[in-house]
Amino acid sequence: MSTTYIVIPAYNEGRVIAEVLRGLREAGYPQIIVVDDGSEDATSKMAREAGATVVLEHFLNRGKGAAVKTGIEAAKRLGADAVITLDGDGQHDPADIPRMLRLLDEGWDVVLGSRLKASLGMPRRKILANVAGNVFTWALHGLWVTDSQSGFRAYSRRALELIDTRTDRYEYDSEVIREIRTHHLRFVEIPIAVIYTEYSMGKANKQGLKNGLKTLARMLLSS
Amino acid sequence: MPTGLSIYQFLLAAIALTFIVSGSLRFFGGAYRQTLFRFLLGSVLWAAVLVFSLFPRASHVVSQWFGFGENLNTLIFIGFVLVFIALFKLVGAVERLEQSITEIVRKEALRGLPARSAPTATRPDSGSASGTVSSRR
Repeated sequence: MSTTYIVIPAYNEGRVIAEVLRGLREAGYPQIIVVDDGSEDATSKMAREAGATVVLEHFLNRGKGAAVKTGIEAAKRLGADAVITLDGDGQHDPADIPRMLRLLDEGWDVVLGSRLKASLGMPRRKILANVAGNVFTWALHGLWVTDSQSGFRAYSRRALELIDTRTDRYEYDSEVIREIRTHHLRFVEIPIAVIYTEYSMGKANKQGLKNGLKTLARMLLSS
Repeated sequence: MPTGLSIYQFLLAAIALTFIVSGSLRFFGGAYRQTLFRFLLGSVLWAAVLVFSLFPRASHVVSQWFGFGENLNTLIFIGFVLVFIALFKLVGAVERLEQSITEIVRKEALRGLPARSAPTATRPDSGSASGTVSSRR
């Protein structure tokens, strides 16, 4: 892929965002768009200092889905041929990116990183929550995937042009699955390594039971 | 038409009729967001209000159909339905507002980036010391 952008939605990730960016740059991916989703800490400043290509700021917190969509829109404006999205808390390994890009080069429209295809070391409650998310996504959108809530994904230019999402928060991930089905996009799932740290597991805005139920309610309303 | 209508019955009937007519005009006039589902839902709802306001005893018949037995129960049931519909409409309105807010926030964040399909990753804000394109508040 000639022009690949990495899109990172970030909310209060000031402590780790520089490290995430450093890992990506060292892995050979310098074109990075960070979307600061209304953080109350120094996420933007840290991302800028760490050399992000573009730092966009939401002046209000609008949610992960909204931030990813803003980042993708920026990447399209900058002429991206492909976009990789990953989380800003450092749980995704840049070493998985080459395989994703290779699959896009082979003609796949969307590559979905799947934690459940390599769930060794994954907390049991996370596995359970993911399976529940998969079942609801399948019931609402009619497409079975092994990790409907993964934020580590790759999109071809064609997919970027066709996928049109409206939801703002975690239900975004499932909405993308709906769009894949609606537009008959060619997708493939690959196992990804996930780095669970004390930091990423302890974040208050992560998908807990309460947030999970809220996400489910929003999925129902937006389907 | 029953004789001896009270002022409340008359008012309720007039309100229901107004909503039915305006809903029909909006639907057949192709108004924005007026889907067939919304039109049918609104029409059925207001038609029911119209019928019950003009013929209060109709609620007794409905009670018999549904096996409620008492008129009061039917009214409570209908009340729940109305509250549910109102809640549904409110949630929809809030959702649309949320989407509008997000669009405004996104527009502001993307200010300063080139228009769609620019050929390369240019830096509009070339004066930035860190080499970063930033959209600030």
